[in-house]
Amino acid sequence: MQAARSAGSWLLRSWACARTNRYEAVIGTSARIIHTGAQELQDAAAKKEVEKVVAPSSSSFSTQIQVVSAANQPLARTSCGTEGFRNAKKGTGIAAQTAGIAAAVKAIGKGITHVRVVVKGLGPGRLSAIKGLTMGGLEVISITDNTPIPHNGCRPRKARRL
Amino acid sequence: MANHLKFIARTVMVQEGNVEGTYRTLNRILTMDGLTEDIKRRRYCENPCRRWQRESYETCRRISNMEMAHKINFLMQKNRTDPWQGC
Repeated sequence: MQAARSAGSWLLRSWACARTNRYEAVIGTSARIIHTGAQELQDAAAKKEVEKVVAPSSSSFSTQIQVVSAANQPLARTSCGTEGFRNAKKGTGIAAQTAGIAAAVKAIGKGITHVRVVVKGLGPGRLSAIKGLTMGGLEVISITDNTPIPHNGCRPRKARRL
Repeated sequence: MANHLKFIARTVMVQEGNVEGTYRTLNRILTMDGLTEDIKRRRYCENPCRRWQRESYETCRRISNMEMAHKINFLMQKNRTDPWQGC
């Protein structure tokens, strides 16, 4: 892994391709990637993916799930808002679970069985979404945590006075 | 993390379909490495003044906890001299 990192991009790509091929050889089907974004303010009409914590008027969380192929082709996208939940109910575990089940159903419709899960953000739907995926019938291979941690980049909002 | 290789850092493989256990392992690794509290802390901006107060508080707490654990381990030793020898 160290050699791959230090060498160059061409080596990275070939190593990544080798990794996918190994998965295909072992499992027999291709592995797809799922990105689970928690703590994203979701608007079902606008379909914007914005990573915010709290809406100004009411504190609301949501969970979004996107199924992506190994070549980063988007396949299916569901969220708590598309499942019919509104406002505060989007920020619950049940909503995340239903979103997971819907995403799994859509993905199986496109012929996906095995899946690597990438979780982003700390929120109420973090575990429930993965459970929903397994309940929907997808097989989870690995769980990655891709929470964006800035190395002191943007300044976060000011501290709350309790 | 677009510039880094994917699926290497902060990844846990699922063993025998045990997704719950894998998730708990991932959470435990993140907490032990201090990433979870770091994420929570970065949600709101922290003053340098508050940050020094917090770090000194944590250092003092760590020292006092270690001293207490040391003391308890010492007191729970089994090979003690008999205090009532000769009675």
